[in-house]
Amino acid sequence: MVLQTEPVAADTAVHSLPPVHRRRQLKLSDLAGIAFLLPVIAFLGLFLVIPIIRGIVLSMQDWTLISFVTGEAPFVGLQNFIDIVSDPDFFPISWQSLVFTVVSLVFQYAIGMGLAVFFSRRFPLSVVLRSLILLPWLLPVIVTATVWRWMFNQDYGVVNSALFGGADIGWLSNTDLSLWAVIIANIWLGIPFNMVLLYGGLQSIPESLYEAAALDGANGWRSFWSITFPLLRPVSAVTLLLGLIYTLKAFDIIWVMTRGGPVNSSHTLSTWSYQLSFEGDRALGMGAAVSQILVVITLVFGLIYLWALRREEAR
Amino acid sequence: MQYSRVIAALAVAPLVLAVTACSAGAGGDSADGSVLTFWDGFTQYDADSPFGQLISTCEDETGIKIKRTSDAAVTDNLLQSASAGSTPDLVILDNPTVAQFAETGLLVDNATSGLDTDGQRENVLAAAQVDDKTYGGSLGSNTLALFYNTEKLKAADVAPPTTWDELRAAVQATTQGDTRGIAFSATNSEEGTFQFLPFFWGAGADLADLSSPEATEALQLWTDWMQSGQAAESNINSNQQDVRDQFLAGGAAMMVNGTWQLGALDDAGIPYAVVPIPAIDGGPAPSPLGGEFIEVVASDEKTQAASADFAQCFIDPENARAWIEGQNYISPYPDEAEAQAEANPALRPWVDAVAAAYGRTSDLGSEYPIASQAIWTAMQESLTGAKTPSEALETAQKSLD
Repeated sequence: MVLQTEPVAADTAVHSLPPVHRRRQLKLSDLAGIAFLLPVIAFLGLFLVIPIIRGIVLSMQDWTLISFVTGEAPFVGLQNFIDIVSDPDFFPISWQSLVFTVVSLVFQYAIGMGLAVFFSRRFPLSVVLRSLILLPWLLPVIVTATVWRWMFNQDYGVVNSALFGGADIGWLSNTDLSLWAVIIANIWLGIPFNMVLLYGGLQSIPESLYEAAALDGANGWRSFWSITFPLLRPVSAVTLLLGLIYTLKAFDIIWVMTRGGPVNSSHTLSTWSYQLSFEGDRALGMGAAVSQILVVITLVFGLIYLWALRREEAR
Repeated sequence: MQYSRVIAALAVAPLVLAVTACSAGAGGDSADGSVLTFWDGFTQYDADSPFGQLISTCEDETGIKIKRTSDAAVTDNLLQSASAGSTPDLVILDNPTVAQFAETGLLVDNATSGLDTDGQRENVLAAAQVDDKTYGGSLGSNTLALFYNTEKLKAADVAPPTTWDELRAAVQATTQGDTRGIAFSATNSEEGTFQFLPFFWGAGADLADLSSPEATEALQLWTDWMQSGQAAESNINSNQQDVRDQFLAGGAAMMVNGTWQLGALDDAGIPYAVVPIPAIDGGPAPSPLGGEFIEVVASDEKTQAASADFAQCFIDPENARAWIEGQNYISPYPDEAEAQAEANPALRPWVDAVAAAYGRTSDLGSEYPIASQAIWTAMQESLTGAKTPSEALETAQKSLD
């Protein structure tokens, strides 16, 4: 407790100031400050900074199986990135990532919002139903993905037999459909997340606003667009940003359902990165290069979010 | 006074963490070879299993103490241990990975270690040979064969096929209603290539030339089956368990699969029998070899010698008998395999298939995984109709050149 009253800030700055306190005490408090920072610095360094730097270095190395043993991987600069971008699969896979992410986000958000508004009204069993909707979130993704894989099976899957009258649709074996099959599964997976966050946001909107609007003659639709939606904007922004990150890095759902196939038709950058890194000839450097591209994309959207947040606060 | 102690404790804490983290690596190596570290991927087998008992038998026989670590990700762990410089002394590797590890210099060849694999089948050992050196010894093999539903074949009045012409006719005749003539796994992974290889090799093709007329003929066979509906389109996305389930549910009259499905098939009580996958003009097609090798990992000379001693005991035909039987493997020793078939006639087709089997890395060595990826990609392009078999295989070959 004593320590908290002492200045714990950067030690060099303190040293350059004229000594106000007694010298001995100053040193001790500086030490204390450093000591308190050490675990945090060690944690961040070990688990965040070093892996990030290692990833960047890896993406500039020609890493092969031999490299594991010798520890030596030639530095190749940006060659991995050039190889990736000039790969004939790069643009189709990037486009699929974009479609996967945007379509997933739009539907997850819209359906999540609809359910949140629906459940913000009290009715019999609403709490039970709301908890049931959380189920997709509680299930391990590998279970979800396996079940979707069965449901989409061309010959005995429930989707074809129940929804399409026994039609012979190759959801997972047709190159035009496989991406949509994994998108549908991913939307289902993401709805509860969107609903929970938006539901939380709805709770913070005062009931009196709706009452006032109702007195002024606003119908349900009007009060949604004029009250609910604008007031939910900060929550929506967080929901969409987190959703974006979760969707960009979505891996298990695709991997278990299609492994990115057939013929790469349902690959995204994240599954492609995994395949490059850990299958075939284990081109870890190439896989890391794809991951760095993903990191940059995520970072850009993170910065856009921060910029929007700051603008919002300034107003 | 009071907080200086707190400071000291806090300052030291990360250091202590770091030190304990480092010392948690693979320890217990004693330079005299009396204790050996042993890694395997058989997490399902504890000390009471035939595998565990094989270890303890050899512990008694050699007087070496084994520290066993069982982890399904044994190949990944071995790579990581190599980069950390803390490798085990002995490791059980799946045969197609041996060539890659041998080339990295992580494994010791038998001439150096003193391990004697005399008497093991040449075609089996070939999977573990790089530059005329053999690495390790076989623990037994399995491979792919053709399973058929005896009732469905009888109903269609066809005999188990022995050539491709007979196979084509049998597949066509047994495709009725919801039943497809044949099922196979054509997934976009090593598993898909693995299943395609008996047809690839059975047509007379060679991994050194993926776009040969023989290779094209093999891919044409699969493509014809799929495009005519004699094989399910969903097989593009099926792993070998899915194929087995399709067969069990009566969705296929025949399937390509391995000994590892025998247990499930017997449990289900489905009427089935097995023949080797036919080559184009008859006789068993070379199927890709499955099964593991025990490998001596590079270390000091004394430890390597002790490891070889232990491995020698491990591959002894008599010691390995119970393990091989429990695993539905075929012994790498021809006499022993013959005895297996005599004791259990159901194993006859497997003994024949293993005798004709071929190691995936026998021709290409560590280049195999790249060729495998090219093959499964071509396979999927052809099966989905994106390319013709010859176009797909030509692209595949070009990607390797």
